[in-house]
Amino acid sequence: MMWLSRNLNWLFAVVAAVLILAMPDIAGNEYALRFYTLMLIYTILALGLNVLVGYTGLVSLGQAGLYAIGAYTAAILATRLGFGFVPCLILGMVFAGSFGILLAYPTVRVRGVYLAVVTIAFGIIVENIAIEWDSLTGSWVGISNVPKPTLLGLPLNHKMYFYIVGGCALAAFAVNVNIMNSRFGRAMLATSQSEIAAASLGINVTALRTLAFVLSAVTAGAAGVLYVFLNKYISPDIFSFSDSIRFLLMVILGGAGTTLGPVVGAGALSYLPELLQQFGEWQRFVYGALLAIVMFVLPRGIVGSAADILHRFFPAARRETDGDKRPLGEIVSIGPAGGEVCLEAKDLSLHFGGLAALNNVNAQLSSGEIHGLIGPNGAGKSTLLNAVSGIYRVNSGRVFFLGVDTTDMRSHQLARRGLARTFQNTELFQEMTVLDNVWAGFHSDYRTGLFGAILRLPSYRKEEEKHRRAALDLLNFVGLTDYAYEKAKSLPFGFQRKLEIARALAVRPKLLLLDEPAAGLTQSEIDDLRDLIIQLSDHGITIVVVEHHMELVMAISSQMTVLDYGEVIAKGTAAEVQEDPKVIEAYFGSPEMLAPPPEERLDDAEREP
Amino acid sequence: MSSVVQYLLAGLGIGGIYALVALGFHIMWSSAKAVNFAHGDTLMLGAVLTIVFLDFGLPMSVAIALAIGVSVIFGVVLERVAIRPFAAQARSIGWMLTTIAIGIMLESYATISFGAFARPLPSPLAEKPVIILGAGVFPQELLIPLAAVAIVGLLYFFQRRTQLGRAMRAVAFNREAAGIVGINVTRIAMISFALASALGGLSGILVAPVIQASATMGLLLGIKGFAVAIIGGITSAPGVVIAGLLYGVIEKFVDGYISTAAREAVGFSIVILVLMIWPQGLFGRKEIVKV
Amino acid sequence: MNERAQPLLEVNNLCVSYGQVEAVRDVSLKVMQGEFVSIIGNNGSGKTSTLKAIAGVVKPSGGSIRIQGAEAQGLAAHRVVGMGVSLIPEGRQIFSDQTVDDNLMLGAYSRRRRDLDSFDDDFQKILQLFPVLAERRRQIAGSLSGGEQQMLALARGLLSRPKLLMIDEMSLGLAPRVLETLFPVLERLNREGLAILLVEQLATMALKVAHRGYVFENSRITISGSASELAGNKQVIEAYFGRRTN
Repeated sequence: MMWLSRNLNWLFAVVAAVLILAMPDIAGNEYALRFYTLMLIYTILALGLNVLVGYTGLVSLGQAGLYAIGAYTAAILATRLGFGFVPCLILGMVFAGSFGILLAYPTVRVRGVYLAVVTIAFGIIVENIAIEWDSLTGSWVGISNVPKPTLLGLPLNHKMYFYIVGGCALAAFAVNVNIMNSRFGRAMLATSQSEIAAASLGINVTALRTLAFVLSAVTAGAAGVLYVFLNKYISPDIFSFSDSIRFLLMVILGGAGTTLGPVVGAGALSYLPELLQQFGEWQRFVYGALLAIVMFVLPRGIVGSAADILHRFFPAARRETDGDKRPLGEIVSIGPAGGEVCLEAKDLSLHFGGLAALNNVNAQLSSGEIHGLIGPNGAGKSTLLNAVSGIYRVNSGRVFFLGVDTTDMRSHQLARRGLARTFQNTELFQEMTVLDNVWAGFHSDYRTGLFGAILRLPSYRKEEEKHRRAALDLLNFVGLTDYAYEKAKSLPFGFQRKLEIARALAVRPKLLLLDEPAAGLTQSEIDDLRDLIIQLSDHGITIVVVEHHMELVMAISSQMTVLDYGEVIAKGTAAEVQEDPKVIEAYFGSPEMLAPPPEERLDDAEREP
Repeated sequence: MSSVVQYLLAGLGIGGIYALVALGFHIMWSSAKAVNFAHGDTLMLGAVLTIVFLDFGLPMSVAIALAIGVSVIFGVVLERVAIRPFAAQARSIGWMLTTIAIGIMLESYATISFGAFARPLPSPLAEKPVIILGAGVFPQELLIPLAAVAIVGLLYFFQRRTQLGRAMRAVAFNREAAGIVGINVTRIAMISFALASALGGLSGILVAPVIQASATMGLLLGIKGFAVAIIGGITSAPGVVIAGLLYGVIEKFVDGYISTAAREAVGFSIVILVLMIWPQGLFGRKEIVKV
Repeated sequence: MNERAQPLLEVNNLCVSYGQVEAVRDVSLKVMQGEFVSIIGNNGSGKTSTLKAIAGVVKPSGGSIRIQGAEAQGLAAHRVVGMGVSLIPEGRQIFSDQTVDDNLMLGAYSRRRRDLDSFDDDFQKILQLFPVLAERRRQIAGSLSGGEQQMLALARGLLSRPKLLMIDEMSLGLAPRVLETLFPVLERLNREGLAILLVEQLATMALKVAHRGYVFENSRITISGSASELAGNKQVIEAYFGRRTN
C-alpha cells in the first residue's frame, strides 16, 4: 500500500502508456480513434490549466482564448506559409506562451473575481478577433485544408498521430507531476494558500504566478496545434466562452490541485456527451444535473474527494523522517549579523484613512538581543511589524535593516536578506504537509531552475535531497519529526506555532519577528516556547517578540519597547517598563492599580443586588 | 449630429440592460460574496416565460407578473441549493460550478420546451420608432435606461427608508455586526437573491422586444452584466449602473464609428484596461489585508 | 445574593475553539438581574471569545449558556438578541457607510411590530443620553470620532431593549477624557435596572463601576470576587504583567 501510494503517478503513467499503445486496436474504427485523440488533447489542456487553477489558485475563465491562439497560429502557418507540424507546434506554444505573460501581468494588482473577469475578457477578445479578422482567420468559415501532419518528412496516419498526441499527453502529465513535486509546485501551493506567508519566505509571488500562467498557456497552445492537425479545419465556434467554462470544469470536476484530477476530468467531460446521447434532447440537461450532483457529493472533485476518503482509511504513509539530526547551527549556518544595529525604524508614520496607526515611531534593535514589543490592544504593534517586514508601505520615515535602507523593499526581498517572521493568527500552508511547509521555505536557496526540475536532472535531485534533509533537521529541532507527513492543519495548535517558527528558520534569518507566538498556547507549551526562543537567540539570531503574555516576554527580553496609540511611550529593560507609570496607565487605565483599595470602595459589596 | 444622438440613445438602451443585470450581481455579491453564473439565464427565464404565458392567452400584465414571480422562485431555490452550501468555506469556488451547472440545465430545458429559435416579445413600445433630434429609436429603448435609473433610485430609497433595506446594506458591510444587531443574515441572503432575480427577469422582459427572446439570449448579457458589475466596482450600486450605461454607449459608438466587428474586442479591452488601473473597479471599496 | 433568584445569564464550563486553538477553557460565570459585572484581563486571555460565544457570533465547542433559564448555546446571533442580550462588539463595528440614524434604526431591528410604538420614546431617550448623536443624526457614521462611534455602538445596542448589555473593550483606542464621559453613562444605565457585562482591559476603571469582577488569564478565569476585592489585588497585576521579574 505504501509503495502504491507513493508511486501511484508513475504506475498510472505506465498503465496509460500501455493503454495508448493498445488503443488504436481497441478502438477499431477511425471515428473512435479520433474521439480518443481529442480526449487526449483535452487532457493536455486540463493538465496545464491545473497548474494555474489547482496549484496556484488563480481561476481562468478564458483558457479557450489561449487554445485558439495555438490553433490559429498553427493553421495560418501551415496553410499560408507551408510550415510543417513540428515548427507549427513549437511556434504555437511560444506564441500562446507569450500571451500567458501578458495575461499574468494584471495579477500583480487584480485579484479574485476581478481577475476572473480579466480572463473572461481575454477569451472573448480572442474569439471576437477570430471572427472578425476575416482576411487572416476566415471568420465563421474558418480555416480549412490544413495539410496532413508530417514528422521528419513522413506523413502521419491516424494511428501515428494518435501516438504522437499520446506521447505529448504523457509528457504533459510527467511535467505536471514533476512540477508538483518540486520547489516550484510547493511555492505555487504555498502562494495559493497564503500569499503573505509565501512572500515572507522569499518567494517572489509575481514571478511564480507569471510562470503558472505561461505554463498553462504553453500547454493550451500545444493542445490547440494538436487539434488543428487532427481536425484539419478550425472555426471560431470551438473557442467560445462556454468552452473556457468546460475546460475549467474538467479541472474542478476531476479535482483541482491533484495530479490525476485533470486526466480524470478531461476524460469524464469528453466521454459524458457520448454517454448521454441516449438522452436525446435532454442530453445537456442531464449533463448539467450530473455536474451539480458530483459537486455536492464530491466537493473537492472526483480525485480530490476520493483521495480524502482513501486517506481516512490509510493514513499518511510514514516515510523516512530522520534527516541528519544536525544541530541548528549547521542546518541554517547563521553567521554573526554584521554591525551593531540590526534594525532601525526612524520616524515611521502610517495612516489608515484618517487613523494614525503609527505616529513617528523610533526604535532600534541591537544585533543578538531579544526585544519585547508590548502595548495594549490596538497600540500598533502588529502594524509596526508589518511595516518593517515590507507588508505595509509607510507614509513617512525610513527603515534600515543591517545598515541598508529597506523602506521600499518588498517582503520577499527582505526575506532574502535574512528577515523572517511568524504571524499573529499563524499563516501556515494548511493543506500542505508539515515537511512541505518547511521545505517551501528553502525555495530561494536553490540554484537549479525550472528545466532542471521538469527533467529531474541529477543536480536538481541532489539539491532537492539536500534541502529535504535540512527541512527534516529543522523539524527535528522543534520536535515535529513524527508529524512530517501530516497536513499542517491537522496539527494541534501549539505544534502549528512551532512549525511556523521552523519554517521561518528555513530562510536563515538574521532577524526573526515573532507576532504573539504564545497566543492560544497552554502553560507548558509556553514554557517550551520560551526555551526555544532562548535557544534561537543563543545561535545568534536577533529576535523581536510581540506578546501579550507578559510573564514570557518579561522573562526573555533584554530590551523592551512599549507602544500606545501608535507611539512609543517607554523603552528599557523589563523591570524598568514594568514600573513605568505611563505603562501602568496604558494597561490599567490609571496608576491606581498599584495603590491599596481606597476605603470607600469597600461599600460596593453592599451594592450587589 | 443625429448619428451621435442615435448612438447615445441606443447605447443607453442596451446599457440600461447591462446596468440592471449588473445591479443584480451587485445585490447577490453584497449578501453572499458569490457570483451567480446562472444570472444571465434568469433574464432568459423572464423573457421566455412571458412569451409562453402570452401564448396561453394571458394578458400582458399577468404574463409579466407571473414570469417575474417564477424568476424570483428560481433565484431563491438557487441560493438555497447552489450558493448557501458553499458560503461557509471562505476560499471555496464551489458555487461557481454549481451555478454554472444549474444555468446549463435551465438553458437546455428552455431549448427543449421553447424551441431553439428566437422569438420577439411583442411590445407596443417597439412597433414604431420615434424621432428625437433626427435620430430614430424605439420607445422601448428609451424605457430601458429610464427603468434602470428609476430602479436604482428606488433601491437607493428602499435601502435608506426601510428596515429591510438598511439590513441589506448592513449585511453587505459586515455580516457579523449585522447578526449582532439582530438581523437574520441567511434570510437577508435569500431576499437578496429574490430581489436580484426579479430584476433579472424584468431585464429580460424589457430587452426581449429589442433583441428577441431565445433560450441562449442570457449568455452574453450575463457575461457583460458581470463584467460591468466588476468594472463598476461590485460593492457599489450607483457604480455598476453608471458603468453599465457607459458600457452600452461606448459599444454603440464603436459600432457606429469603428465597426460592429470590433465591438466586443474594444469593449472587453476596456474592461481589462479599467481593471489594470482600478483593481477594485471604478467605484469599488478597497480592502486592507490584516495579518 | 438571593439564592432563589434566577440568573439573567448563566454560563457553565464554556469552551470555545478556533480550529485547533482553544480560546476559552471551562469558563463559568453568572450575571444577575440588574448587576454590573466586569471581566478584566490582558489581551488574548479569552474575554472577547467568551462574549462572542454568548452572543452567538461563534459556536461554543462545549458547555452551556442559559439566558433567564432558557438554553442559548449555539443559537444564531439574531436569536440571542431576541432573548434580550445585546453585544457591543470590540472595535465598535458600526455600519460606517450608513447614517447615524440608520445605525440607530438597525438597533431596533429585532423588535416586533407592536414594540415599535414605544420606539420613538426610546429613540428620544437615547438621544438625551448621548446628546452628541442628536447633533449628528444625518451624518455618515464613519465620519464620527472614535468616542462618538462608541456612543453610537452603545446606543445601537440599547435600542434592541436588552435586559443584559455586553460591552467588549469599550476603551479600545479611546482617549481617557472620552472614557470619563462614557463610564458614568454605564453607571446610570445600570442604576436604571440594566444588567451590564463589561469586558475591559483597563482594570481600574472597570472595577470602579462594577459590583463584581472576573479575571481572565490564559483562556480561563483565575480570580473572581467583588469589585473591591479585586481592585488593588496584587494577583490581578500579575495576571497582566506576569510574576515580577525583579
